[in-house]
Amino acid sequence: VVITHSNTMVKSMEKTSSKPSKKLSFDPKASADENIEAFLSLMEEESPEFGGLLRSNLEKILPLGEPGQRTRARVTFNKAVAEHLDK
Amino acid sequence: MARYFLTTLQIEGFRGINNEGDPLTLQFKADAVNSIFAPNGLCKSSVFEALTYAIRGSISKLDDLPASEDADAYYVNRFHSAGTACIVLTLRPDDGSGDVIIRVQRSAKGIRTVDSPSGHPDPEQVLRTLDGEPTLLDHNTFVRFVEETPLKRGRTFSALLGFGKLSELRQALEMLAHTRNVRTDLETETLEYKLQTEQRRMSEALAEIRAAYRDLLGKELGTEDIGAVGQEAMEALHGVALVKPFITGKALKDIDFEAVRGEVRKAEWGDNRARLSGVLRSLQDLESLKGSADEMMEAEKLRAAVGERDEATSKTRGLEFHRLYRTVSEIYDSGTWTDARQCPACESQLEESLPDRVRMHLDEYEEVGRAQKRIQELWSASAWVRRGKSLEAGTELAIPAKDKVFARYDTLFTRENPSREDVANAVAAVAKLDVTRKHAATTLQEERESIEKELPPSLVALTEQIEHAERLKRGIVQYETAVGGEKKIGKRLEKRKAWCEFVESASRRFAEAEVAFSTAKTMAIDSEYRELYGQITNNPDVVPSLRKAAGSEELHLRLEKFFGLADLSATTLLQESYRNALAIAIFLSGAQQTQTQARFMVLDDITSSFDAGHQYGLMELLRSRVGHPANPNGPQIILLSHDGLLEKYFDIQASEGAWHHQRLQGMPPMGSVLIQAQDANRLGTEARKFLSAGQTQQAVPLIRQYLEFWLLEIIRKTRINVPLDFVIRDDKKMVASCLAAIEVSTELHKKAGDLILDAKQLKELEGVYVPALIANWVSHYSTGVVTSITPYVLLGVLDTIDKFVECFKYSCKCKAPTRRFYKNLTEKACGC
Repeated sequence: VVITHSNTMVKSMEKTSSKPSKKLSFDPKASADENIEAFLSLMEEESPEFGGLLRSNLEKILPLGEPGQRTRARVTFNKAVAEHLDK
Repeated sequence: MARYFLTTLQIEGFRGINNEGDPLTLQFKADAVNSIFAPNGLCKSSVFEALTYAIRGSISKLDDLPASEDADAYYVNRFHSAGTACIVLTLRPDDGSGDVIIRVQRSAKGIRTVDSPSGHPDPEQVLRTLDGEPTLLDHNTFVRFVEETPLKRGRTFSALLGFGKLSELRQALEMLAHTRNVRTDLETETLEYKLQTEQRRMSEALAEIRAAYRDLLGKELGTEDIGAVGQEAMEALHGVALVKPFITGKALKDIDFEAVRGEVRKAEWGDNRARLSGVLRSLQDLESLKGSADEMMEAEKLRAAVGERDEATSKTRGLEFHRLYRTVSEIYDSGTWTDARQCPACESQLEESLPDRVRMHLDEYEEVGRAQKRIQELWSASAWVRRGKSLEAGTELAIPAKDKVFARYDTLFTRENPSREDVANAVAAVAKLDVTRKHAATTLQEERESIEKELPPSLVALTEQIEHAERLKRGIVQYETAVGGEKKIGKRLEKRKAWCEFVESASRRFAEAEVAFSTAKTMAIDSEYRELYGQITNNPDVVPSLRKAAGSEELHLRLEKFFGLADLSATTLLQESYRNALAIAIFLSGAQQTQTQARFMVLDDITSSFDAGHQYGLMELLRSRVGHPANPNGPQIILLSHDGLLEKYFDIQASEGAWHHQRLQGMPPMGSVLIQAQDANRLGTEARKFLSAGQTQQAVPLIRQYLEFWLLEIIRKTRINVPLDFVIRDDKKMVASCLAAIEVSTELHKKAGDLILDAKQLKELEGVYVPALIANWVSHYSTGVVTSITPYVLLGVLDTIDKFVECFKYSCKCKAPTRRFYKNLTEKACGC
């Protein structure tokens, strides 16, 4: 299998956060759900409010639909986020 | 965590399987490859669909039907009197713990219920964990994998290797973290403009306060403590006896200055004083409407925004195309057209995904919309625009209605498409109003001086003090309002920006982890799928290659080598069987990397496009390399087939330990489907049953299979040499060829004097059984007239076959007395 990395992705991967954060890596022996749970838990650990917000609204954007549906799902997701943030 | 083997499947009332009161019960061995053979129409597909429904909750074939077909009514067997279906799975954990039994039922009303007779607390969850790409595979899965778009293929591939969900979440997070998306959805730019507006209002109000403070108290403001400023002003006003009753006990912002003016008006020189008061207020208003240096920057920003909008518009193709793109997008969204590589209008094939291309164009139009919104926001928030409107609307300049332009500009900049020339015209209109403002201020100043000359100085000072104090009050109120607004908007903006940072960080970190994970998983199957493909096809001139761009979902099938040529398209060059072989190789290698809780793979009709050679290659691969128990960590293989050629292979394997074969029979969909454990004796028993009932036609194919099986078994067990084409061509493994091979070998060893068969065996073989088989079967079968032979003759053929086989066996007494095949034609298999 040939894996190619685009320049954009390399740049994105090189970009580092201003805040020190724990490295995220997935366990090859765990299921996808378990790895996603580990990611969400880490996010909640670092920011209980935002991590919880991400977790509770994920169902609005997953599973991903076709392009037009994705745009609508994204807008719905961000609307819910904005409403929560304004509270 | 334990994974589950499937040990029993019971089905009643589902699809073609009626079995009312007597469920079809299929037993599977965890330590064997399992195969189920069913001729057409004997519910092999119903078995696969029952498992699919139990695990996934629906059958895609029925899901895809139009609503008018009422697919829900076809899950339950139409002849089951209760109209209910029941599927029971017995799952055996591979860690040795107790069996989990799960019962899935579907009521007459289509309601699905799941429970666990073995007492598992969450059987639905167990079923969900069984679901994965490699758990239930059929021929269509492989065909689709090769033929669908690289994007869909890539998604299937990701799901197969267990990172489909991760890949999906990565894309979702990237979409959420996309700067332009998130800024648009969370309106951060709008909030930034609003914040800037409030800050400018604060600044303007502060300037007003400074000016009023200076005029009222005769000194420069030395503090920004607005509360202290109000207090200082109140102290100054307290010294004026006339206004004292109106201000005692109040804060500056609570004073009713109109009431104060009314009191002053009662005093001498009332009209002139009132006029002075009006002139002073007009002067203050005109003073507050002076321009600032920032205005030029604001106008320049607006001009730039119009330029960006024009540039974005130039990339689009007009309203007609916008309608076209939206229509195409709606067609795909609605699901009425799903092929991304085919135009729904002209049905031509496309090189790239049409929905993606249309999305790109729609994004260009959305960019125009965003630029237009920015123009509206800049126009509404610009101080110079607000100043122009106020100057034009105010009474000081007395602009005639016909010369007023800002109402029109408002419409133009907030609802229409303004040009850069319009921006320049609006700027010029404000500049023109500024000239008028200066002229009006000069006139008012002259009037003020004239009135002040006529009024006593004390009254002038009093009037001025009241106006300055009210101006100070107005400034303070404006300042506090702006501070409140700035704080509120600032807080909202800060929170939203923090969220943007959070989601950007989450997206980046998830992407890094997912890329590392998927790369490792993908690389792990690299050599495996190539080897499996090579074993199935046995053609070293064709070497496949998978191409996957990191971060992209697309997976391309290429040929690294194709009869000496390099890097060519696999989907266009490979024949159907080779393409399916490639798909199967990828799925089988992927299955070994997947971590679903299912430790079993159900393969339905996966050899449809294969010739005998490829079928054999695949079966051997499953038996000796992929499946459990040959592969200690491999999945339990469950094969469903209606391929007659394969049944011979299944029969042979079933006589070995690590293969468990069953056959479906019965009278579906009204009657029951039964299972028959399969070995060669089953063929003989069935054939005798038919012959005893006089059913020659039904018995003939069974006799042929029975005879072929035993002849091949003699050749295999006693290691009889056969011609090369007999080995490599399945069509050569016919009765006559087998008999010829056995006869030649027997004759050879007889002449060599080392034949192990005893004299009686040899005599009966040569003198009775071979001639009988040739006379009563081979000569008739080759001419197609077997069915005209009486059942008695065919029963004799079956007996002859059994006796013929016995000629190649001896009595072994090593353990329990048994009849055993010779090791070869010259020696026994043991020391007996």
